[in-house]
Amino acid sequence: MQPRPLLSLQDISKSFDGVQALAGVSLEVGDTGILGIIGPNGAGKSTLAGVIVGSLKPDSGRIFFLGREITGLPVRKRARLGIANTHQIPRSFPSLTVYENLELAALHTSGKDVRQRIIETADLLGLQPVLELKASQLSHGQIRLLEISMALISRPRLLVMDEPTQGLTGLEVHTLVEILRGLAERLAIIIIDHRVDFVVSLSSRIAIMSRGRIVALGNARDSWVTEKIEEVYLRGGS
Amino acid sequence: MRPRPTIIASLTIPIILAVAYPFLPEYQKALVARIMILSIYSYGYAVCFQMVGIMSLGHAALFAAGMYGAGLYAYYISPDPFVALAVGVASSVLLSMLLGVLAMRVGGAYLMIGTLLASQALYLVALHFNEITGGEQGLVLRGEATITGALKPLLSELDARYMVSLIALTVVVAGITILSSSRLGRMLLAVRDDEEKLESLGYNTSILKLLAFSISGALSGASGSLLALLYSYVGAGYAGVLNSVEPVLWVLVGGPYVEFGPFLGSLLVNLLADTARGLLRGHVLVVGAGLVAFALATGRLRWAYQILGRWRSRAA
Amino acid sequence: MDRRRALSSLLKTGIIAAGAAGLGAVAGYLSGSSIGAQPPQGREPGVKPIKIGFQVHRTGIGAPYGFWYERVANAAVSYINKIGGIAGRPVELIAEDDETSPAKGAQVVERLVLAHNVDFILGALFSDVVLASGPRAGELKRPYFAVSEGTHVPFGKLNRWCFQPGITDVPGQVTAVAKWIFENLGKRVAMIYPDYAFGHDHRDALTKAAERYGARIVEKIPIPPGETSFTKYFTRIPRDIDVLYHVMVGDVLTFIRELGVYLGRDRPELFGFIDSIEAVPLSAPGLEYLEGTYFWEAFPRYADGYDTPYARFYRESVGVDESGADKSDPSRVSAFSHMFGVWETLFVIKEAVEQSGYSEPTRSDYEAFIKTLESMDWFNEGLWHPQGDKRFNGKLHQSFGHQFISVVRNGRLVVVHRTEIEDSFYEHPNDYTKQPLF
Repeated sequence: MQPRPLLSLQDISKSFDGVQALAGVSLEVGDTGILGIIGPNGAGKSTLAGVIVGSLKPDSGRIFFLGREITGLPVRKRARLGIANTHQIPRSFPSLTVYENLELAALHTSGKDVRQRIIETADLLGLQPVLELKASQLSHGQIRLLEISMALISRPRLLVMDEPTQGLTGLEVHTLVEILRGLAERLAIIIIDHRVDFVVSLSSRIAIMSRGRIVALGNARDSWVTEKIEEVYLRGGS
Repeated sequence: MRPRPTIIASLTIPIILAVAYPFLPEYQKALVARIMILSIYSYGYAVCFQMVGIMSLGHAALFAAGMYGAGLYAYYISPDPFVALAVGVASSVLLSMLLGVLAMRVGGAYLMIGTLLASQALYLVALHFNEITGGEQGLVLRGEATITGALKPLLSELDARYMVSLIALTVVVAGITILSSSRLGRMLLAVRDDEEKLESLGYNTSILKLLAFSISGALSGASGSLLALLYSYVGAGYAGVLNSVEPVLWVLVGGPYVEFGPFLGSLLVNLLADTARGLLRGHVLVVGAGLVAFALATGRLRWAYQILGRWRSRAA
Repeated sequence: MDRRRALSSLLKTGIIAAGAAGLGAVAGYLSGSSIGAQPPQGREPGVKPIKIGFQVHRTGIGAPYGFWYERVANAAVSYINKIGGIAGRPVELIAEDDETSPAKGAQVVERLVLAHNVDFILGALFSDVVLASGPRAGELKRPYFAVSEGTHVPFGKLNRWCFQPGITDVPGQVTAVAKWIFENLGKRVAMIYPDYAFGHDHRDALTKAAERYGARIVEKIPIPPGETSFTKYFTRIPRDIDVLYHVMVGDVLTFIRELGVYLGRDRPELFGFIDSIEAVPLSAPGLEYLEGTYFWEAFPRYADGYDTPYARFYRESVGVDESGADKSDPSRVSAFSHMFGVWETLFVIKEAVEQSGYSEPTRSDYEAFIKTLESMDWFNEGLWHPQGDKRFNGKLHQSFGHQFISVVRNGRLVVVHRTEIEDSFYEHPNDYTKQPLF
């Protein structure tokens, strides 16, 4: 018997002012591992992320998470079910300290020792020295790490990351890769990024998008992936 | 990081006001008592504007709901000023929840216009039912229906007014300090900073905004009720546009610290307006606008810009 | 308060307020420095002036009236000082703007009493300001003299410290003119009035008077406040009435123009209250329709309407010409039917101080002052009371006087009748003398 997928998208379409951003996308994501989504600008990657976290409503199609339909659920209810996300431009609460930011993110989970978890998470992402600083005083890279920490501390089942490497230094990217690899053993991660090398090296599966469709989906190690990437990026279509 | 003031620190103002009382000249006693009551309105506005980032231009509706709730109860139903106070606060909380539910749906600039319209509507209602409300001319509460009347065996009116105002202000300042340093206070700040982000962490920001708006309503209504019950007058003038604009000025002048700012702002604007009365034929608005212009020119209003900017970018 | 005390309290204020705001010191200084600072003009050495606080509508909606009230107050005070002041003491008038706002009005009362320690307060015209100020005056134990025409004083809505001896009230005015209207213009009346307290006072008084004289108010048309167009209400005016009674419903030029268009030449008699066109020149465009209609006046705007030496002296003193306009600017028409109340009130204060032997703001002096004033029942016509003699009701704290009825003829007001004082009497159970003073 086929195991029930964590997330399942069925024939999702979405258009903005007549422009088709998603044209019948179907996709399944298992309990663990990293799914990398790549594709040229305008391929529909960010729209797909929005549809999964709930900030965008699909025009048609259905979404299931943990076996229940979530197509009509608002962002906050999906968050409570265990879908966390990070944004292309990282977002946090600038008036609050890093500690308070993390505390807000941790509050909805059942774990008891919030303080302990905050310190652990901050430790993991190197935010410990800045815990008492206001988020408004952080560098761009630190805010990115803070947002990722906030996503992790809520103990999600699925983490959707839109361009997580943007604005990070080489060293920070390296740290991030290490962390994500470790996490992928416990939860499902969807990464959308234009840095193909980064995505390919990190992901267990790759989906290639073009013009609102998934044109290829498979194991990242397979050789056809490289060919398909070249095809999509160089010739601009399938 | 600048730590949030502790309760003790933020109670400095009430303590100074208490210690100062015996030394104040009579007129200043009366003036400061009035400013204390009005500053509760200012705190109410600050909960909305500073803590959760909602810009309202119709808070006079909430103030007047408290004033009419308390005043009409004391005038027509029972001359018990303390029950009347509760009725006043309850009516403004009720109105703020109603307004909140309607206005939160739209948000941003529409919310400003929505609250403005609501306060105008209340003003017109007060005028329309003037056989009950006294309309523009207003109603005078009988002595026994007022707090000063109830305390008369113990305290002179001047003392009673000052003491009651001081107690009310102390409670409000302590409450605001607790709120702003509490988890709920941080959630409200988070709404102000980035509502969508907070939603994506699983929070129901509409409930949070509604809660903040109701707290704001409770404080504004308390101010209106106390004004009616201490000064024995209720009138539609308090529901007018002017009374919606004044707390905006007080809060802007008072600065970013929600524990002190609302009081300091209303103190400053009202003292200056009172002083300028003879010289400028000064209107509170003129003085307030002058101070805001000064603050703008010297870059002291960046905090308010940030609040407005965030709110606007979200609404767009 | 002497200088030293003022200075020491100023220091205290300064220190305390500086702690609180860092700015209180400035305010303390400025407000402190005005306490008892300016000596009145022409003050004799060693004689303490009588201080009369004056709550005036300098700004806000009442400013056109406030301008004239202040002018009359200054003229009266300068005349009083010329004839020896009050009880031999010069009068100092301390005027404060109340912005025609109830909130500010109450504050002005506080300021006049607590900061300036005035002996008496000359109060305001607008009802809301009077209504918010009266309780504060009663509480601070300072006699407060309204010049408002409102019913709050006589109907007992205020307290024993509030008086209205210088001007008659709406029920008195309506009761008096109603008799003439019913006898001369007809007994079937429709009335159009503003739907707030002032209009309700008119409605109630006219309805009562109609019962008394066997007339009928066949239609009552209230106009909501803030209304800018009136034609839709005119459809309610019945065809078969003798008189249309109108008062102060909104912008008078619009009202009269629309009324003219609606009723045309075949109109009933029109009777209005001068309040609608107070301080408005009759030559204003659109008012031509008023030709041949009647108005109540308290004091005729045109000098020939009530030409007495006293009225002439008063007109001269306040600088108003034969047609009721400012002598130095004939386009500025005065609030002639109201502002005389300020003049007469100041002389009532003078009389009551002199008769009661009041000298200091103390319990016993105020008790004597108020009881003396309450026992007065007559003010004689003269330089002090140029509008005419008045009957004062000490229980109601209200004066009753003569009223004038004028007709608009050739674009000016011509007096056709002067009512008797008795015509304006009405019954009311209020009795302020039963309230404790302290």
